[in-house]
Amino acid sequence: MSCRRSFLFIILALYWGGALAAEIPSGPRPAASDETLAEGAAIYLQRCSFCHGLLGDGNGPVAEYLDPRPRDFTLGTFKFRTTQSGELPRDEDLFRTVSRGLSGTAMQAFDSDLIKNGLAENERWAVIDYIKSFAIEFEDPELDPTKNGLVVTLPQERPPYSEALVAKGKEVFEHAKCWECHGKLGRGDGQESFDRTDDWGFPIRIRNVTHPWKIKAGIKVEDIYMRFSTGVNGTPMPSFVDALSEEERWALANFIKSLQHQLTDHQVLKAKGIEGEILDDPTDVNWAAAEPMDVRLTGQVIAAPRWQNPSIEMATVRALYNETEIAFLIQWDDPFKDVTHQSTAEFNPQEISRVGGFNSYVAANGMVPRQLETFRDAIALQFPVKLPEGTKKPHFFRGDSSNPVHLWQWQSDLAEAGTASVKEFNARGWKQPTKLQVDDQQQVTATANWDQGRWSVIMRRPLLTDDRNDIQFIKGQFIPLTLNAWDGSNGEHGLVMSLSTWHSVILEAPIPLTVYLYTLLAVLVTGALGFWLARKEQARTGPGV
Amino acid sequence: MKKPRTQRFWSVVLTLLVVYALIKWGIPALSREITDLPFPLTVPGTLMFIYMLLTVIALFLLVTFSEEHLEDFLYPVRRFLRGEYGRVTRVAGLAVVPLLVGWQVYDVTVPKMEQPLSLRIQHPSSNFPKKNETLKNPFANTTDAEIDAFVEQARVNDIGFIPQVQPDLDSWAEYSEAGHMLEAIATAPVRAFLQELEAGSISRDTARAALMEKNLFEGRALYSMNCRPCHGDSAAGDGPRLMASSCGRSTSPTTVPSRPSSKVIPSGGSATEVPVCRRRRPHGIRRCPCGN
Repeated sequence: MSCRRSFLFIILALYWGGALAAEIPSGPRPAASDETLAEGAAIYLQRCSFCHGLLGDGNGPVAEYLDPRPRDFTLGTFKFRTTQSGELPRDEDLFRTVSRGLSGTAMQAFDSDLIKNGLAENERWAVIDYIKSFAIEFEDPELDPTKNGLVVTLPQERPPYSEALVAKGKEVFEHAKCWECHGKLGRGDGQESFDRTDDWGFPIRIRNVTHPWKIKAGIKVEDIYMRFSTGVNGTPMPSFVDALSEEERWALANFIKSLQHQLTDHQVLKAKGIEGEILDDPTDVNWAAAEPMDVRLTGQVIAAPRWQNPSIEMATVRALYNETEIAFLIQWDDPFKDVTHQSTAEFNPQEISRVGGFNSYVAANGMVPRQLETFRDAIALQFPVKLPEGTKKPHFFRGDSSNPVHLWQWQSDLAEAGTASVKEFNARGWKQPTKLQVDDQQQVTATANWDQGRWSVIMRRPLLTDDRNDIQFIKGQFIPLTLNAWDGSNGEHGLVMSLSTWHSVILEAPIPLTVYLYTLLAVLVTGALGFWLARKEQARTGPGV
Repeated sequence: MKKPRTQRFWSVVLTLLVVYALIKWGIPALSREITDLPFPLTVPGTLMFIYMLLTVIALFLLVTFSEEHLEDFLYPVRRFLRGEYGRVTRVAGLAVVPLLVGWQVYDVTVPKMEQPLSLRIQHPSSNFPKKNETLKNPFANTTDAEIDAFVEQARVNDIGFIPQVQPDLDSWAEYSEAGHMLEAIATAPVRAFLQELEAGSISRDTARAALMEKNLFEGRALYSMNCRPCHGDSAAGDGPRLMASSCGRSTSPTTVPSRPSSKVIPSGGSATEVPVCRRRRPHGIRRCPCGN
């Protein structure tokens, strides 16, 4: 290798080494001993037992509020491995999970390079020794994957990501029937009913593979490859190591990678001005040309019942406006189209928000009905009633008493019934109930459509109204905007919802002429000043030196 | 030998640059050292403005201190204007400065597409201690009576744990062969206490340490159930739930109210009451993670 190439190689090696530092141990693991076991037990008590339980059975005090639940170590069933289906994990698999955590779950990274007060490498090995002591399967040498060889390795040939490879992967996706569960577009909408459970009998959802932050054990092609090659033990996700060849699986992993949504990272939605009518068809060219903004949502944890397990974690918004009205296109993934609502099934917030209320966190699989046809899907846009002066905005959760907000809530059961599907409310803080606007001030209309695991809702309203409880859309101003979302089949209703913090929408207006005028003026004045100073200086000391 | 006459001008320029660099890059770098967080603290624009203004005023005073100082300062400027550094330099300078000014004016007046920031950085000294901040955490300052009560409970192996952790302890008791409930949380202070319990002579200090361990065990459970999803395993604002929202890491200790979170026990003070994390405005108005 030439000098330059070896240099490049070293740089790349360092880069990859650095990038993988979290999950790959720096050397062979220290041997397990009584000391490491004792050290591991101490760390486990302090850092793990409140979720995983004092007995390692996944039943710590926090467990009932988590979805997915913490791992039960006592059966030796582990989801994310590099070993064959049904086999125990390798030590390195456990190390990887403890180090980098599982994205989208309560299991956070414990590598001290990734988080404050994390665990050093030897501490992680000690805790792993202790964790393995919970399951007798680990003591059986015949079940040890490094001895019985029932491991899964990456293919020798790993062609890089390319369109051709993705196309091949798509063919594999079709004929292996991944879409039967995951849906044709990977949104987890393949199955109509909701009765899947894991090995412990807890409801489990089919993964939406387009949301990279929800892919628990890594989003690199290698990680994805491992998931369906090893199968996810304890869940309905099988292994395809026998059904598909290495080459096919590598192509499939690349295809899944290609489905991953790339999040936008700006917080300002630019509403595009157009001539003519804004159509109700989300595939219309105008909508395609409007720049989208991804809004990340999290559970509402401010008011009881605090919701730590929301199902809608992202919605994409676009906006168009013309001379008379403004329209917002909101799209979000939801595998089930929930269009019925039983208000009798709603729980009473008073019962839940007792002081001292650990019960104010709604348990994932307990208190909230998780069936279809109980609660409707819904989405709401929230604006402040008045444009903020300066940067002070109303509280993002329903405003506050001096700063009311204006909510446009779309309800899917009304849409299904064919009646007006948006209700406009005002709110002055979450402690008071929202106030429905009077009938003749309900000016927002909407159309909606659910297709292959995605809702598309277009809400529109005249730019200006004469209702002083309404937000008015003025060009060139930042108008704060936020979203509330409800997934009915996840039991979400009332204040059990996802929400986001304030973003903004701005109606793009052409740059005013004054900007150019001021700039030109500034240039001319400064130029003239400089010129005049030079002249003066010249005159003071006499001509040319 | 007389100093070069350009020195005063350049030392003024250098001072301005150094002050700017210290504020823009020095403060964030220093903040990382001090807070040990994986990101630097932001420096508000007003801070930069105030310090630069002070610097400019100070330099102005320095430069106008005497005729001689002023002449020294203006010397290179005059030479430049006369063209003594070269005609080309003069033309270039006189052309570039207006363009820079024009660019700045354009930058300030053109409508921006970035959401105006509303940072909520609370300068530590700007808040006189409020009532909550003078509270003492009763669990960190146990009274003798509480320690004695704990010892009594330990003697009869009936420790009053909070109901949230009881089911897990019950399962543990069922499966383990341990004699005493406290062995479920057998850290060094607890083991020392159990040894003294068996020997029959218990010192208050050992008991206090063991009681602290018990309180920490309960506190960890309460924290993990109610706070950890957003505030993270180490209250560094890196909780898994918060990573989902655009708040990202705003619940770091600098923006979260730095009051000690005192677990106020409802009247009675007995450890069997459910402790409450009761702040004045919990996660409510003006205290939300993004400082909105």
